[in-house]
Amino acid sequence: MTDKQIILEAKNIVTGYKNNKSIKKVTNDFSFSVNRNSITTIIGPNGSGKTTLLKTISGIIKPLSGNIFYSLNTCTGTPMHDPCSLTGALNSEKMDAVAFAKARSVVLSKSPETGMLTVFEIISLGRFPYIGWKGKFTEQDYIETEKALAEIGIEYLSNRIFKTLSDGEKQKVMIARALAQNTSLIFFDEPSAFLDLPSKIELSKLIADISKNKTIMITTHDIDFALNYSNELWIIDRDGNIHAGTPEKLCKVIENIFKITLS
Amino acid sequence: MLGMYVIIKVNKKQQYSGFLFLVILSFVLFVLNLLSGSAGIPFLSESILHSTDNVGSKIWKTIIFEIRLPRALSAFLGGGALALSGLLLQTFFRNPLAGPDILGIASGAGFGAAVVILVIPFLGIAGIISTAAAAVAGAVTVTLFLVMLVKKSGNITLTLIAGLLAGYFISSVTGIMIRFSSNQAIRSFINWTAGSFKNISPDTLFFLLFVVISSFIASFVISKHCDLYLLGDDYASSMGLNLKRFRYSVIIITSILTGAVTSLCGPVAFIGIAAPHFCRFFLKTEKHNILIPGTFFSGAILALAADIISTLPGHGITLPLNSVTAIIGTPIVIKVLLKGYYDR
Repeated sequence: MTDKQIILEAKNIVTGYKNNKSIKKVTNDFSFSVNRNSITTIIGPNGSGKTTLLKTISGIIKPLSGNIFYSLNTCTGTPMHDPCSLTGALNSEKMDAVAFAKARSVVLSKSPETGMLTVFEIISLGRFPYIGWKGKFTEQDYIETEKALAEIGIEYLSNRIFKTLSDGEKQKVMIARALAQNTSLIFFDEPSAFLDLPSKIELSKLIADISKNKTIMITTHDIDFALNYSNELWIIDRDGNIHAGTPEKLCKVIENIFKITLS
Repeated sequence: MLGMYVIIKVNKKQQYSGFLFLVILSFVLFVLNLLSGSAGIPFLSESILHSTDNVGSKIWKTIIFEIRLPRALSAFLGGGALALSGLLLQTFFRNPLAGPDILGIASGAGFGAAVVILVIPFLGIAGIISTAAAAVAGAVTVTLFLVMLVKKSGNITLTLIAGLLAGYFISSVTGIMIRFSSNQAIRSFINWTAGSFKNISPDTLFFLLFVVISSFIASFVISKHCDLYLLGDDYASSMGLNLKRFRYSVIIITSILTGAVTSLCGPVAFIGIAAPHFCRFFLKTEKHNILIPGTFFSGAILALAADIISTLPGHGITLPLNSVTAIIGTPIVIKVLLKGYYDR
């Protein structure tokens, strides 16, 4: 396994929303490839289409055109040579939700309202793609859940009711749940949007830590994170064009778009 | 790691004892239901049920096996079915105030049933099944309307209010429609709207039993899906839930349950919304593989209790069932509103 192994690529994707009456384009034609175990950070002003782009690549919404390829066996989540097309699967209206759940997991900015579910129960739901139609967890599922708890270091929260946690703790639980899903790819959509500064810093470190053996794509407003942790940076400008490159190369673009001076 | 397993097992133990409590309580109420009624039967005196020579004991036997047993069974099954339907709807709309009666789904079922009752005046098993089918169709129509509203507005509160209004609207249309029929139909319609578990025959009881068992199994199969669905659409689909299939399963199960019970027992109110909260109060969990059977027994408990109270033991008067369920159900729902059922 080399560091430069490609796990995800896309050809000419255009994102946006369409219904019967109109098509609303959000980001323009963009092609890319993502290396295994890297962090790709998407930044841009509010409303520039960060979340739309991330949700499209992660298969939650459909691209207006273009193709996205996962170099993963979607049944097992392990890398393989022949990439399979996410778009093809999406367009056929037969996207196998379970297969994709084994390939990628998603962490959103807003944590869910889950009534009286406990932390352990929520993290164990990450095992959903692996259980049969009877919906029964095996010993293996419990072991994976506990591993995820330990990896994030939140064993002490295990029996708490999710709803009673702080926002920072909730996001950690949702990340542990993504780990229990046991995917090679994790997508983060502004995971620290509702967190205070200390929690934000903690979360950044946690994500950097996870990236040692996971491929991460993240949208954020945190330029510090983008410059310090990401291997690849994508900046969406107000016209929906995407500028991609290493953080060093893109300093000028950032200064232009955000009208700031980077030291 | 070992410690965690121990704690989880302790939680489970509490849930098991809570569950056992619900089962025993429903059984006790079932027996009480057999014992209570307008005719006083001296159960305590010896061997009434065994001697055959006594004329009085024969009548008592008839009363117990042909009147009270079907009634108790239909209260047990009907209450459980409405409760299960309410639980699935609360999960579906991710809102503690959802229920088949609140959302107008029961009114839709009632409308469907009324149409068939007017068109096909004969009764019997074919009539009952076609009435039930029409009731299910009415329930499905209202549920699909609500789902469309949720998709269009994205606002659950608005959808709940719209469902409530749709319920009034449909009930009024049903009421007007019934006015154009015979006097007897009007009378039986008014009786039907009051709700009752006693109009059930052994044939219809088997039909209800079949519907309840199959729906119960179907909802148990999707219990993990229900847990996952609570995380929200985006999370749930990213974790492998087929949203479309799940939504249709819930719509079909709840409509069949609501339709069957409403066509047989009338629009019984409040059990659907109150029973899931009654169950959560005892079991302190949100896991559907525990909530589904727990809520079923909670619904049976509320229905049996309401039925016992409505027969006013020893007075020979029967109260309208819906008034009794409302009196039992309202405090539970208000408590939920005030305290928030999410609290420990």
